[in-house]
Amino acid sequence: MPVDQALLDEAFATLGVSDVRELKTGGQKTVRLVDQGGTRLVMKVIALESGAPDALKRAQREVELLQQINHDHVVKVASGLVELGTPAHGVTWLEEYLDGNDLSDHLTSAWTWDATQEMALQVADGLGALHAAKVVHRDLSANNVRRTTAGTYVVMDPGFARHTLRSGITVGGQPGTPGFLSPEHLGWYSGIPTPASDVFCVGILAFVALTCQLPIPYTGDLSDYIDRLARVEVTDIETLRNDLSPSQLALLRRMLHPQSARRPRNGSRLKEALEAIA
Amino acid sequence: MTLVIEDTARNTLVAWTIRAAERGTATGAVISPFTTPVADGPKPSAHEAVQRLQNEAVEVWLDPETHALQMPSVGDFRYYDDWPLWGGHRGALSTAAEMRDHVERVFTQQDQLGVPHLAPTILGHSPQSQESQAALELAQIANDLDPEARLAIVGDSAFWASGVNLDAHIGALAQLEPPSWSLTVVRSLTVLPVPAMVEEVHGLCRTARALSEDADVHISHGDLAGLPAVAAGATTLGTGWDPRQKVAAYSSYEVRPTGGGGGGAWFEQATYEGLLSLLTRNEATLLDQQDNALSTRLLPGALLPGPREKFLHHTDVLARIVGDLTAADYPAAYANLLTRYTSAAADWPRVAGVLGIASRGTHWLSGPTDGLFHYGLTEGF
Repeated sequence: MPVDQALLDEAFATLGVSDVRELKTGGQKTVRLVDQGGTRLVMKVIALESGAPDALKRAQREVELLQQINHDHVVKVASGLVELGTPAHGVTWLEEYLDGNDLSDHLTSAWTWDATQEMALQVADGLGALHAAKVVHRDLSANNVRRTTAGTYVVMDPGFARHTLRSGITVGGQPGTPGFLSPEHLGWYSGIPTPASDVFCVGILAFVALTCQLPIPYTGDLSDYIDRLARVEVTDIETLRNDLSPSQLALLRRMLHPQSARRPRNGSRLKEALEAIA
Repeated sequence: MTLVIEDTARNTLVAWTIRAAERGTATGAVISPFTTPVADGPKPSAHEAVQRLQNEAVEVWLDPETHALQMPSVGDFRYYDDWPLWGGHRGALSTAAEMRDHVERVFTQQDQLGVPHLAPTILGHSPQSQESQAALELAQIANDLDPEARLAIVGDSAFWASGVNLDAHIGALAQLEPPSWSLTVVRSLTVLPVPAMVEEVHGLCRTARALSEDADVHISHGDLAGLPAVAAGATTLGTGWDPRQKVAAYSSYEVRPTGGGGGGAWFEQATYEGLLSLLTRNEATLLDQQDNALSTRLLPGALLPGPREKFLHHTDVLARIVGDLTAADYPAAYANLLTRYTSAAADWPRVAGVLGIASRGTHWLSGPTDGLFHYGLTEGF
């Protein structure tokens, strides 16, 4: 169900913001640049297909946690998660407005190791803050990392999507973006994504930065992609970048290891591992 | 650390464990509320057993064996129900409050005995199910109460053979980062050799390999079938003289007649390091008589009389192999054990020829060998 004008108007009124312009729209989600007392913010609105009170409660708790995070590499949350309607047929919240572009806009040619390492370090640092707050991102993709004009990488859309958004892949009930999923995105019960799954996704970002290719390619055939993801058929990085050092190759393979217990456990551990190579 | 002697329904745990410890083969023992009474009775109390073992520098664990309560035929509660492990009815773990209460009671009993914390767990059949979720929650509660507590993972063959689903469950548990783990494969029957499935062995190896990177890994009731997991990174192996110490099985917890038995005389099989297998007493005697050189090479040494001597020889063999494997790095440990399996498979037909029996090499060796081989492929060895 798309976000219609009535839902948008309800969101503007509820949050006390005025519309500036559309930033992105797709599926059940709309992203708008808004103004609140002279401050530019991003407003996100998600249309809900049906009431999901437990999911909403979890999302609200998580947003409360995220509001306490003040980290250079995590987008700042500027409001709580607000339900629209009774029963809720949408949710909305505000985030800081980040200039620059999505990481995906910068992945048009292969990066050096140093540039890749810096990006992965900053993303890992941001994820470390999320993981310390017991939040797993679960939808880390090249469109959910922003490179600001100052050259800083910022993790966006933390946490919310998994509770509310039903677009994208929902195998195992998990949100996510094809090409940027971990094996645990296919899991159920105790097998669902953990902080180590976010580490796998940083491995995907690093792989794409270094090669302009996905480690588990997605060509539009979802069932084929899911089959290869289930078997964790990862292209070996050395076949595409034989200029990397053994320690660089080893860390990339650890990040993309089929067993999540073999990866750096969380963002902070990944940051330490990346720094150790430096 | 090498071998840990599992609890037994017989009355010999303390004395025989101390004998093995004196030889340097056993370093620990496990007591179970199913087989050791909380108070003195026909058997020494848990407190007395712990004291005697600790006096000989044997590390003792109290395994609550909560996972046995989910076994279909569990019924031997003659000692168990005297242990104050439950606030409500036995086995009630359907709420977080019940889980927390049970873990606290287990830890209290362990504190009173002066042994380290070993958290209870739930028997797993599928690593992605309501029961696996409950096992994760129980582990999280135990980890919250004591981050230093050893966590346990117990599952049947299908659980350990679940491939990527197993890996995801293990990954979730690994987030808890305890200092040590206890892994158990549960089977239907207490029989040797155990019917080890290839994918089960592979899964146990992958798990031991992953968890051993930053924690100690113990293979409970592992015995000979647990050696591939030791090659993959586990450092200790549970064993004993009785099949119920060598195998974790449903049948070990069934209702049984009272009485402790007479010291294990009914199970007196000999352990052959060169075969990585056991032979019955009659087979061992015949092999010793018919081809003494072969018997001496494979045991190795002289065939010893009596169940206690055979147990001590068993611990000598296991400790020697575990010592070799744990002293090596991952690729070398893999190569060491694979060489041992290859050699054992080559010697079995000759032994069978001497004894005039069909070779049982496949029964003893094929599951562990093929599972180890798959692990080696996964690791790129």
